[in-house]
Amino acid sequence: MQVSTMQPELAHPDIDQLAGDAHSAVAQTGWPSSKHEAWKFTPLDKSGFDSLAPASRPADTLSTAQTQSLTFKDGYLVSAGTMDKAISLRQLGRDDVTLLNWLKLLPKDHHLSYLSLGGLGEAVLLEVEASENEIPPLTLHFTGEQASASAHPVVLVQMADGARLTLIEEHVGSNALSAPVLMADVGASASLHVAKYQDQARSTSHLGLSVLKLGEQAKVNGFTLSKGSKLARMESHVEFMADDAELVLSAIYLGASGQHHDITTVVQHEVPNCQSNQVIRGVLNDDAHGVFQGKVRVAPDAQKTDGQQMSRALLLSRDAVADAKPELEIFADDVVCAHGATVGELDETLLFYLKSRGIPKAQAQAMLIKAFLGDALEQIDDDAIASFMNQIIDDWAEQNNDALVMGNS
Amino acid sequence: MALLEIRDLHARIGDAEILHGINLTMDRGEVHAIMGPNGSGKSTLSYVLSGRDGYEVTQGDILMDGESVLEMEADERARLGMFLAFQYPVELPGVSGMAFLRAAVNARRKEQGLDEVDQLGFVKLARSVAKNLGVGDEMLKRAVNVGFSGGEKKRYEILQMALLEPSLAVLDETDSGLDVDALKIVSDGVNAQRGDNCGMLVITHYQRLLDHIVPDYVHILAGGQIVKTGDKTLALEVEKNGYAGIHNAA
Repeated sequence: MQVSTMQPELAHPDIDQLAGDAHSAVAQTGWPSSKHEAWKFTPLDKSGFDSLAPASRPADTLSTAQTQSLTFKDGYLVSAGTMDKAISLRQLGRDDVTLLNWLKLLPKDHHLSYLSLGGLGEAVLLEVEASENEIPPLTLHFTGEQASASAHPVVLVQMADGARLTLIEEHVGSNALSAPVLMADVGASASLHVAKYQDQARSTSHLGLSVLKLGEQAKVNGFTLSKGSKLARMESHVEFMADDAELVLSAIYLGASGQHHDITTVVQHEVPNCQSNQVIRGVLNDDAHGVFQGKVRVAPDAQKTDGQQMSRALLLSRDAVADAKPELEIFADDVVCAHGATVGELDETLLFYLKSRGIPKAQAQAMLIKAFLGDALEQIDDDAIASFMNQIIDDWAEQNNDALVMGNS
Repeated sequence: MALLEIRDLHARIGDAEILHGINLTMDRGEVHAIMGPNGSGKSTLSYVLSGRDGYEVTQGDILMDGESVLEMEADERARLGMFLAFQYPVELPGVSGMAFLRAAVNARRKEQGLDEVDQLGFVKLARSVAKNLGVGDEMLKRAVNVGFSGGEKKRYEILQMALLEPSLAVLDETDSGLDVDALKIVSDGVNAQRGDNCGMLVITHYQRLLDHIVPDYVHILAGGQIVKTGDKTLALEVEKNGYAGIHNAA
């Protein structure tokens, strides 16, 4: 297959057009400020992104890996492991009409779409066939070293009817801004698990976008853990395209000094008999700021929709702030939908109960933090991923306890 | 040396002084009952003893084995051997019962210079102790106190006490919310802990608990002070004449 690495100057005129439109839209409106409804808790106008340019393609030649993994550096694929035979991998250059068709599915008039289109280098397309055998998880490792540049990796996942896949996304590294896009078209009765882990350097920003389309009886289970960066927004747009599909979206953010975490979701029920369940939990220490925005739209035809959404934030410090903006837009009359949002502190009574049993304060606090996050962690139905995420949370709780114990006593 | 010595203890919550000078000395192997009407300061006393935040000691001292515990956090006191059985045990959703019990036992063992118990060894230990208290495997597997009935919560408190082997047990209205059968099970569990190494302070509103856990001494608490001390017959007197009769006589 011919890839754009060989002919960087070639671009599909319509993709050029999209990128040009994105550039002029941003040039016209600038980065969104707090006056922009979708960005009111996470304004970007003072983030200094104007001075950044998309990272150049790293000099690395594409290497191979033993594990089923892909590594992206500065937004470009640099390493590809051996894939299961049910998965085929293609790199799509800016001249590729397939890429053009995917890009047309990006959210319209949306800053994260502009960001991706404006910095677009190439994309990776994964085509997954239905398989009798269990496919081991595929790890997508995103890293970067160009500290004054932005990275714009794009991964496209085409799941055939009945296909099954577990994707693990790891976002690390020190690119000033990472703006990864994951788009998945999940076919009928196909099943996709996506576990994201964001632990980029504290000097960085992360503006991630996931776009998921669910076919008939498709199942998607997405989990996100946001822990790194100084500013992180992880946004998911999900659209039900046919009946009887099921979505679980769970997310945890862990915020400490100087951090801003934003989990934003848009779930669109366009057809009947689908289920969506969102479980969001955040823990904020020091002066950290946490945001959850969740919109559930139920179209007039989407009868028998079951749409649930619950976000809870736990503040470990009086300086921490949590904002929540749940939105239900329901145009059908025979649906079960509920949403809720709470913000609270560690319960002194529970803490005293644990301490009265001799459990040291720091350990008791870590136990309660862990318990608070339990509802979101329980949504992960892969043991290896769950145990990986658990370990990260344990370590975080331990680190943040030192500060807590000194602060409280 | 006395196991517990409470000297002229004054304590307040916020601006309100609740305890106005309590004196009490208890040796190992003894069971003392503290009886008193609602609002007499019974629960406050249990929280002040165990070191709950928000309860401020303004005067006096609390000594365990001759050492003042006033400057110690609740968890330090517990690791030294103090145990509080709660009147209303709290539910801890998401906290696994086994992990909780093991953390508590290991915290105490560490303090005593003993090796920590591993997961497998602990499950065996907890099951054998639980069986005697009518705490089934199903209860052990659940999150702490979540979905337990009132009686189950009290049995779970006594299970914790049995596992932690405290030298000083404070039982705060352990009989509240128990029917006759549950009261018997819980009392049997408490009585099994009695011995030369453990002193017990049994706080109760009603005499009926003391039919099952027979005290060596009974103290009447009223208005934040101990107004009368006697043997177990004092409890029967309360039952007959009410607190008003005792208080006025004192």
